Amino acid sequence: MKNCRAFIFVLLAFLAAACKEDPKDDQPADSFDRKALFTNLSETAILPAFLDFVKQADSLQQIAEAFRLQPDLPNLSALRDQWIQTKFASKQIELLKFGPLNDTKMYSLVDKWPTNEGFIEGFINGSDPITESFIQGKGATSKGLPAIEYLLFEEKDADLLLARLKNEPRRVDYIVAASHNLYQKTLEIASLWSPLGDNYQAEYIENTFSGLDGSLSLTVNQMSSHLEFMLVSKLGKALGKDLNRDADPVYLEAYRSGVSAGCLLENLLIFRELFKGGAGLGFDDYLDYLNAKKDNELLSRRILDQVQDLENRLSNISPSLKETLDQTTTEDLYQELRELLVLVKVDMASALSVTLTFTDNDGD
Amino acid sequence: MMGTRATGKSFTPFASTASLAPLAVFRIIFGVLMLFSTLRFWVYGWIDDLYIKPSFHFKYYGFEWVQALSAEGMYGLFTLMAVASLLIALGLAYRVAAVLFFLAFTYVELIDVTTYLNHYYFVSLVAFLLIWLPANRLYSLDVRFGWKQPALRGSPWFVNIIRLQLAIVYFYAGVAKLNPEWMLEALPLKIWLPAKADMPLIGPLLDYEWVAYAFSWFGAFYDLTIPFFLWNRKTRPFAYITVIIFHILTWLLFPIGVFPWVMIFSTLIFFGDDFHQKVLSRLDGIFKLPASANFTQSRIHPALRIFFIIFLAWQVLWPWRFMAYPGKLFWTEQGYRLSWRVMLMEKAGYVTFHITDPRTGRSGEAHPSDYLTPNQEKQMSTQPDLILQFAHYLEKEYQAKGVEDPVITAEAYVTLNGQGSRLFIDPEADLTEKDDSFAPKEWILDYED
Repeated sequence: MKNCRAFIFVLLAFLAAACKEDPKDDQPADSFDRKALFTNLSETAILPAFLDFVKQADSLQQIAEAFRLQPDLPNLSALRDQWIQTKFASKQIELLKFGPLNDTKMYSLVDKWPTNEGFIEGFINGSDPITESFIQGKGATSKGLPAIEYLLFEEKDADLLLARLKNEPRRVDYIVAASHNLYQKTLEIASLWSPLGDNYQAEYIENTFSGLDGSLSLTVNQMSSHLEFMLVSKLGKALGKDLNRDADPVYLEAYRSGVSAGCLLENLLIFRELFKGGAGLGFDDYLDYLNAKKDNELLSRRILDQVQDLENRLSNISPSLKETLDQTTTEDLYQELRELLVLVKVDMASALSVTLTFTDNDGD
Repeated sequence: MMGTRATGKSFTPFASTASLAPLAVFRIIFGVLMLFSTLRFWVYGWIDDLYIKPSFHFKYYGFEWVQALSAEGMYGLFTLMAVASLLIALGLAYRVAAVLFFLAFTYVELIDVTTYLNHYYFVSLVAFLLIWLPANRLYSLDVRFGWKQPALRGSPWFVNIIRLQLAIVYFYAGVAKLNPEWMLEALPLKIWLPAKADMPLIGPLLDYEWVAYAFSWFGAFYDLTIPFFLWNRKTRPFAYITVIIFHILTWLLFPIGVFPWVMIFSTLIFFGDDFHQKVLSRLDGIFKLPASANFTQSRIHPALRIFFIIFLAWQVLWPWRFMAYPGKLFWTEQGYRLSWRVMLMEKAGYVTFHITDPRTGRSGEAHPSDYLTPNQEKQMSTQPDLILQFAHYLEKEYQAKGVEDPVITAEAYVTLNGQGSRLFIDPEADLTEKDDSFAPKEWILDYED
């Protein structure tokens, strides 16, 4: 019986240690409230981004209509500007491709690049009336923002472009119809999250599950994989990072309009919004709560500094990324972006325990 | 009549034979668990995800010849595994079933290193041992059909080899926890537990740092001592209750699949003859004895006994091979696998491969995510031998593209147990010039605290 008693004693000692709160122990600074985090992120960063996208697309379709009624230089300039604003709004949505926006693949219907110029020219040269329902029936590479960009920026010189658009009204019809279709799609996309629509927001807030399908993992993994997409596909390809491929601006997103750097900047701005959660709870607070560090510095600080550094670099690109591909500043930008990716994909994901596990399930 | 309890009484404690009832129960449990586990794998779509979809698989050193089969082949293999599991449970054509199960299961495990889990290794070892054990000599269809002579008793080796194997798993898992990070810093539990703070009931506790320490210390104590407490008849009931609590807790906290159930059911083998006879007597209906049944004893062949001793010696020594390597074990992972190191570290990484064509001087990058599944990429990013394998794979890919002799280096950043990410392997080392072997990999950078 001696053995038995000793065993029970040790077991009880451990259980007591594991179950009983020791009053001397430091209290945790309130258990981190994930629900509050997701509530804040969806209210301050995510829903406003969707609403802005709808608003910008609505303006775009109205200005496009105005241009069709009165095709002149001021209207063309306004239309081009509004396209850029809409594109920037779209780049914020791009980083939010998790949950229903990822599952439904709807985003590709508004902003899939590169666009297929051959298809677009074919439709314009055809005889079917170019209406919203005509565009609706076409594939992702023939519509959305990149298709409109092609028609609005194929000719850099505004006078020449205006002349062409006046001569070929079906091009204008295409711009207008694609803008209408774009607006419809932004409504559908926004309704995925909106409390007035499918209300994914409610599910997002409640989904505090710590597995791979939890909101935490979905958000962080998308933030990380989008940074990787920016690095590899948006910058790397254009910089000729594939062996035996030269730097080539056609691999840049939005190279025709010359706002490639702006697109990357918008990606980063929404990244920072999510990371900081505005004035409220964000991932920075979560990381600080977990006391996550990198080289004796708060990891959250390192990430924010790195984001700021990248924002500065992107803002300083002049005149545009396609003209500066061969400069060391662009190469530096690329390397700094990789550093941010490592901080997020490796350090942040690890600190938050959201790195992938075996088949999304088993691990040891 | 089988199922009576008289048999155990007529032997002295030092008898050269022991009841085979624990082995029969173990056989049935193992078969049923493996059947369940195989079907679960199938239903979750993992055969497709892990073995059919990936275009590249990471190989175990020395087992490069093990290839994934076609889709039909893979499903065939899993069907074979399921059927063999069922036959093992039933004790029907037992020896053949045990051999087939071991081969099929181990083959599947060898296809891709990135699917490695300690409990799969455990299953492979047990399946291998079962081939040599007379687990079908009672309560089996082999006996019912008169294909095998029933035996109530046999060499104590037959039951003890499984108990010893289990004891080794636990004890070494405990030894592996005796490191400064686990014991003095409660790592990685300090990182993992707060992530589970949303759990009902115990969730709020997980935010406390002392809870991570309590779990770490209890985990180490449990692993180191549980085999002894299970082996001792007096402490056994309490020990088994602890087994259940411990494994259910790990099951709730971590995504470790069927492992907790394997251990909870496997450790029943430590219980005595009486217990197992009671369990078996409930199965009298299925495993009726033929009228002509003639009991014998199952003796152990001297060669088999020697083989078991060698097997155990290897099991005892093998996990220590890491001591032959320089550097920090968790960092280099040289001698890490196949050693019962379970849930010991939080490690993550990101690797970019740089490829240079020496003829033209041009260079470029390759990104693992273009070639690998997310799990493969995650596993590769923190394990030097897999990074090397992938570099060799890229070498072939680029040779096929006309780059005769590419120079391939890896820019890898890894974080270990929440210490900031840092360079993992020598970014200057041309990995196409390095071969995998048991020799220390000098191109792994030192871990600096």
